[in-house]
Amino acid sequence: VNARLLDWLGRCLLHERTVALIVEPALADLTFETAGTSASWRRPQAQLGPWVALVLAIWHDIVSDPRGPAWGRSVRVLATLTFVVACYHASMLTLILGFETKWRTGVSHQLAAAVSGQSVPMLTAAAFAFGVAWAARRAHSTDGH
Amino acid sequence: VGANLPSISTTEALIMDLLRDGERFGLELVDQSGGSLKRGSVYVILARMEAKGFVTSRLDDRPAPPAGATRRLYAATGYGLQVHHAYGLLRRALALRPAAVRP
Repeated sequence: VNARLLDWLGRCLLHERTVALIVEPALADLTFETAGTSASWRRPQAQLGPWVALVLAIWHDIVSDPRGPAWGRSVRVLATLTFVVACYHASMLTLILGFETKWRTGVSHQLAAAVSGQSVPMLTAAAFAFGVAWAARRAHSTDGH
Repeated sequence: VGANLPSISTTEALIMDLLRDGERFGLELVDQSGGSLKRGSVYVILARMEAKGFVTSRLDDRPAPPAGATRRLYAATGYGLQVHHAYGLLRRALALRPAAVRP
C-alpha cells in the first residue's frame, strides 16, 4: 500500500475529522499488521482495505456534509448517472477486447474508434470535476466548517 | 415521533455485541466478526456510529511503529448499549408470529 499517496489523497478530498476517523485508523491497523508476525496482511483484501476505506470515506463525507440535505440528493443522482455511463463504457470495452482477440471485424474497429474518440472528452470532464470538487472542498474547509 | 428515534442496523448491532466486553481496534472487530465485517467498511461504520453516539474512540496510548500512525481504539457508550438492548427486545417481540401472541 502506498500509504503516503493514500494519506495525501485523503487530506486533499476529505474533512480533517473524516481523515482522522476513517483513513488514519485503516492505515494504522494495516501498518501494525505489516510489522507483526501475521501474514494475513499479504492478502489482496488487506492491501485493498485502506483504498476501499478512502472511497467509502469520500461518500461518507458527501452524505454527512453539513450541506448534505441541500445537495445530497443531487450527488446521488450524479453518482447514479456516472455509474450508468461507466457501465456503458465497460461493456463497450469488453465487446472490443472480445472482438480484438478473436475476430477483427469492421464492427470492432467502429466501436474502438467510438470509445477512443470519447475517451479524451471523458477524461477532461473527469479531471475538471475532480478539480471543482477539490476546490469546493478546500473553500469549505477554510470556512472553518 | 419515529423521526426522533435512533436507528441501529444489524451490522451496527454486531459491532455493539463485539464491543460489549471492552475496547477493540477496528482490525480486531473484523477478525472477530467471522467475515461479517470488512476491512474497508468497518471504519466508516464506526465513524457513523460515533456520530450517532453509540461508540466512542481514542488514540492508543502505546507507541506506534516507527513508520506508522497511532491506532484507534473503539468502545461502546452507555447510550449505544441501551439502544442496542432496546432494539434487541423489539426484534424478538416482532419475530413472534401473530398466532403465537395471545390477545
